[in-house]
Amino acid sequence: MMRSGIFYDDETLTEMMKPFLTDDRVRGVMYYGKMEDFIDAGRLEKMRRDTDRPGRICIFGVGAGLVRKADTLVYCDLARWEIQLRYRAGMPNFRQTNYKEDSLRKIKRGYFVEWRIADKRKMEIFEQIDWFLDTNRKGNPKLASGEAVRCGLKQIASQPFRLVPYFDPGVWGGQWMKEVCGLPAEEKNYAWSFDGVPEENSLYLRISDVRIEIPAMDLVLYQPKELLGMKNYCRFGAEFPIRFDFLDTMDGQNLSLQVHPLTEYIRSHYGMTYTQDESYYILDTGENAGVYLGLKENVNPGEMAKDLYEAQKGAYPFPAEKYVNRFPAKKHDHFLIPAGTVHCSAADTMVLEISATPYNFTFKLWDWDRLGLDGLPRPIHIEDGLRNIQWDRTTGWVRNNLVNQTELIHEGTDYTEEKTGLHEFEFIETRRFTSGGKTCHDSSEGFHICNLVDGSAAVIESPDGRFEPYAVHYAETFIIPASVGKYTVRPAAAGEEIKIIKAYVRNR
Amino acid sequence: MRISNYDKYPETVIRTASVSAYENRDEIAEVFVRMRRQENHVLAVECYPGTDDEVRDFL
Repeated sequence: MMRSGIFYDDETLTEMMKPFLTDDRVRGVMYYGKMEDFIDAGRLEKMRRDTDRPGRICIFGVGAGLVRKADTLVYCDLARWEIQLRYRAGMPNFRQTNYKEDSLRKIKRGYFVEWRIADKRKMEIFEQIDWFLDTNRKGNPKLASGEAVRCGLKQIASQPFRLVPYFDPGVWGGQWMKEVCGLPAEEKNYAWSFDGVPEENSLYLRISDVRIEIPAMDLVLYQPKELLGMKNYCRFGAEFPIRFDFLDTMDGQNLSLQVHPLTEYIRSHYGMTYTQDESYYILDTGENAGVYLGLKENVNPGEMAKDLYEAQKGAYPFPAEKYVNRFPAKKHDHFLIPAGTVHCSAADTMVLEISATPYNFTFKLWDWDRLGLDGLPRPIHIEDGLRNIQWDRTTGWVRNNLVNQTELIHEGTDYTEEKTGLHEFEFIETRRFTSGGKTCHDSSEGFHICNLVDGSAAVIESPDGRFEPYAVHYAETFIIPASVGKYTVRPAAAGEEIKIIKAYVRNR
Repeated sequence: MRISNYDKYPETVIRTASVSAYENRDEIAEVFVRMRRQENHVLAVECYPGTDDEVRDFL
């Protein structure tokens, strides 16, 4: 048995990755190269010579299949969320000994370089894999045949499905998800839930009574045309461009006051092809619910910048409401947040975030004078933020463009369809269906990602029986692949009214 | 506040004819033994970064 020692040594790898890692704690520059770029040709050649003999040969490790053409190929897979948890618990990056390094820096190395080259390599060999070893539960792996997993992914790409959600506490986190989603009461709070981010979430495949967990990214990469639709595939490549996630501040605190980079900035600084356009759909509210959004009229940029820097130095708290609008929020409001707009959710607000997939590009301007859960100040990026703030997005414009821009599209006997967003600067279209009966939909132009935002349960059905009826419950996010085409949604219980919010890529 | 029957473990039942998945450690080990027993045979176990330790026990 040989471990594949074909990569450059630890220090050389870090040196090679340096331009993509930067000094920032969170953000690097996207690497678009391949795993082979980090392989030492001399070492690879030596390993090939050492294994070029008859007999039983076993090679394992990252890139093992590059050494010799395998008669049997096993792939050990792991979803990104589990990797992030292991980084927090001390796991180092690939071929590194950075056990104790800040987990944000480890995630950065994974996000911008390691996961990218590993995903690319995985897809090169995906059809040849004989066995998948699911290593998501430490010490309790599962094994499934390559054929079964590939068959499973093809099946999922042809029917409604859900991702495996995960929940994470945060300094501003709330109590809503604990109660509504049935999470452990002993946890202090939950801030985020990712339920609708294929890049991060996983999928459960029930194969022969065994539950196999694989990264949902495998589906995106293996069945992109079927999942996304050809138009989206041509526009975004094998990337799922919309994410749904929860931000829970019920009985919690304000999120950090923040802004996201404009497309030009995210492209030139981080190598991303599209930016973090967002929106907040309000699922529920407490007494003081609200959303900070856009600037007040006649804000002086220099004065605001000075106050941000002084606040960051600890001289005094940043007077947020002097500069930023605070709109009250109620259930089913929809706030649109094109990149460049200063914003954050206030305390006592339960947000379904409907956004473009990039999520690592938050320029925090002010974190309300508090520390993160790790006891350290969370990263603040005032300079980047100031370069991206659109100073003309002030009260009047924001009210007329970004707050509840609801438009009635259809009204039937027992349903309404409304457009709720997003703003024309953003590529996502959102439609809200309020219905006591069956509504008809068609995803053949491109996938739909939806959430049941009101009502206890709904059933998704195929008019021609192409998939089994699929039940979803309140607050669950579900995805309808493009290959599904026509489908219907109805309340599970007769007489109940439901609301579905549906998002898809707007075709210009 | 509406309480949900929110499913935290949503799974898709895969329609496959063959018995082709294992969760018992001994059964998995047996599959690996069979793979390694073959003469003039190259077994490559390719790892996503971070998974090497999980598979080493079976090799």
